[in-house]
Amino acid sequence: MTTTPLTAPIMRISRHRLSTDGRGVTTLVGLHGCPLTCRYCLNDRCHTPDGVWRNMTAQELYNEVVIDDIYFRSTGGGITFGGGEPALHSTFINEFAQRNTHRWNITIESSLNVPTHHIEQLAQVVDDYIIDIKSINPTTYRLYTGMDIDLALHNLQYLIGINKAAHITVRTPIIPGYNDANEVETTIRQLRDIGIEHFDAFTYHTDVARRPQPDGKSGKSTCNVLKRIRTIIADANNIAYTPTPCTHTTCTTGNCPACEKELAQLTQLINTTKNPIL
Amino acid sequence: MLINDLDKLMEEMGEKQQRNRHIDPSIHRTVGILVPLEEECNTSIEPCTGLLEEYSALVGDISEVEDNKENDNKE
Repeated sequence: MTTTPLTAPIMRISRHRLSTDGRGVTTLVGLHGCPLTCRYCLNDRCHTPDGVWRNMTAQELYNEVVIDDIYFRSTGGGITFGGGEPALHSTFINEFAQRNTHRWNITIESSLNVPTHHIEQLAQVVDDYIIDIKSINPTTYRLYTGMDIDLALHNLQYLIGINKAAHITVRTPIIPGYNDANEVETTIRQLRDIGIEHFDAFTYHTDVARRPQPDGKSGKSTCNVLKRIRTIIADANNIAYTPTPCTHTTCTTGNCPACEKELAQLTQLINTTKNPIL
Repeated sequence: MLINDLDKLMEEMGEKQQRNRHIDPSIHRTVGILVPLEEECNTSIEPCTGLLEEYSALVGDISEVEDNKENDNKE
């Protein structure tokens, strides 16, 4: 009897995220589907049933993200599963982790508002947790997400109970029309009381006029940082390497053809080096 | 691990990136930009509440939300 390989609906694979979604250089994998209906959903495509995703097996995903292996290993980075609600795909993430022979860091961005068996399964393979708790006030939480907070808090308590608190960062946004700075302070205080140490506090803004216009600078910045990382790797392994000056002024992702070529060449040399230093 | 602290390396290079996040108005029911709390709201909630009017125009009536906030405060 043959079995159909498990797949997950992947909306987006975003490479070269620098300390924004977990430690080091990370690749963000956006999974489709979410039980919440947040009024300020950052990725509303996760709710649409129109096939804006690719169904991929864990091996297919691994084959696609392994391109950045030396970046992950040299910076303590790896894969961040976001969404959507990636915790709904706990079995898939476990399958992916079985292929993670290089021990890339695995981070999950989750609301934790999923059945607890998903969190129990994820706890076996996830290194770091970025928890979008929104607000610990049950009224605010329900108004903003359309769901009750009880399950999310239960799962948070579960993670704390198995000594994961030091690996959890809770996002506590100020959401216009729903909470304020005082409520965020209360949320942080209550979460500290139960053992959470790390918080990411920020504000949702709805002012379109203040929206920064893309200027390619962030892409160029990523390009510069990746060049530096390649140089450090090459030096540590006695590999002759001089970065090619990059002329891609409108780069927005930091993966211009010159960078990709250098990455491929350096990866090949590292993979043929006995006991490479990363 | 060769680079223990990527943040520190980026700061030394002058390449520390903003963590701003953008919501595309063409595909979302609301519009928003996320900016670090310390930059915008460290001393007052005014920068946030000042946007309520615009927010209301985007997503509809928020009186229910405000009523609940008042109730919470009373509690």
